[in-house]
Amino acid sequence: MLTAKDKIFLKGLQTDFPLDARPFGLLAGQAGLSEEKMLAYFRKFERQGLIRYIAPMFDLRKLGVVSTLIAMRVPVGQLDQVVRIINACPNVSHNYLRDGDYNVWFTLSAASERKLKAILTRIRKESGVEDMLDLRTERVFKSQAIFELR
Amino acid sequence: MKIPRKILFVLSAPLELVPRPYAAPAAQAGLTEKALLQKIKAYKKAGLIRRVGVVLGHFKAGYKCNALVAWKIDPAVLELTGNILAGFAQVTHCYARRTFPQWPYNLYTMVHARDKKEVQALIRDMARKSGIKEYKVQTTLREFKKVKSNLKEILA
Repeated sequence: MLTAKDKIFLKGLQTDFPLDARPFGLLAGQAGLSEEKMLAYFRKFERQGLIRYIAPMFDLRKLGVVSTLIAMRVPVGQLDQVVRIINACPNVSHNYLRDGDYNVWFTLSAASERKLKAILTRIRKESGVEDMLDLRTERVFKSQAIFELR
Repeated sequence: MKIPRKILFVLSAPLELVPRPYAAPAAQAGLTEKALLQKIKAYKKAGLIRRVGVVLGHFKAGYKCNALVAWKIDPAVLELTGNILAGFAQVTHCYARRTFPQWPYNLYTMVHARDKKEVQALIRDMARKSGIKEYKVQTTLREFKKVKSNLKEILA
């Protein structure tokens, strides 16, 4: 169980993990714990799956990366085979089954428009799925996977 | 400002849970710990790094249900509506996207909640506050893949 203190602590760390040579030591000092205790606390949350990882989050667009969201209408009988093809592509970071007219939704990124198109053409050919929407981003209002803990 | 590939790839790996987590990536990039930290701060200031932080497993964090909602918005009020929907704390992503004749939805939001009932109530609230009548809810049924973006492969 998370205490109210844990929740506040983890919420803040989603946006501001310390940029310090000894970040866990710094956090430990603020909390009145030893560095070792603080690391044990993080390791516990990682083991529990509450913390997936700690890392810098890049703005892919500013790095020149082209990204899109693809919606596919995949017949249920072909799902396993199509998912295998999509998941095998290292340029795909997220792929989900959703209810609705279009049932498979995945995100795709590449170094250029040409490369992105080539990957899409290949996925279309290998999967045999014709009904596919390339839902290119036109404007980002929010992109922030930050959660209040409950 | 551009990030050299070597530093970019080194920083795209998650930090280790050790007392000095920046030491190994600094060594790999041929920098001192201090120099790497300074670079990270500069990239953050330039907006190339959006944040350095903990990424939570949202299922474990209590968000067991999520949905992608596709909204059909009058382009004249897209800016206003996008900002209203993005203002909901339970919305993590809010993007305007290209439309198709058979798929006229131009605004997309990812919404997260405790369960399906809460997701549905949230979407109704979003529709009411923004005045949108036409939308499609795609509830997530299964996660086939979810990984940290592989910059080495993407930029290869």
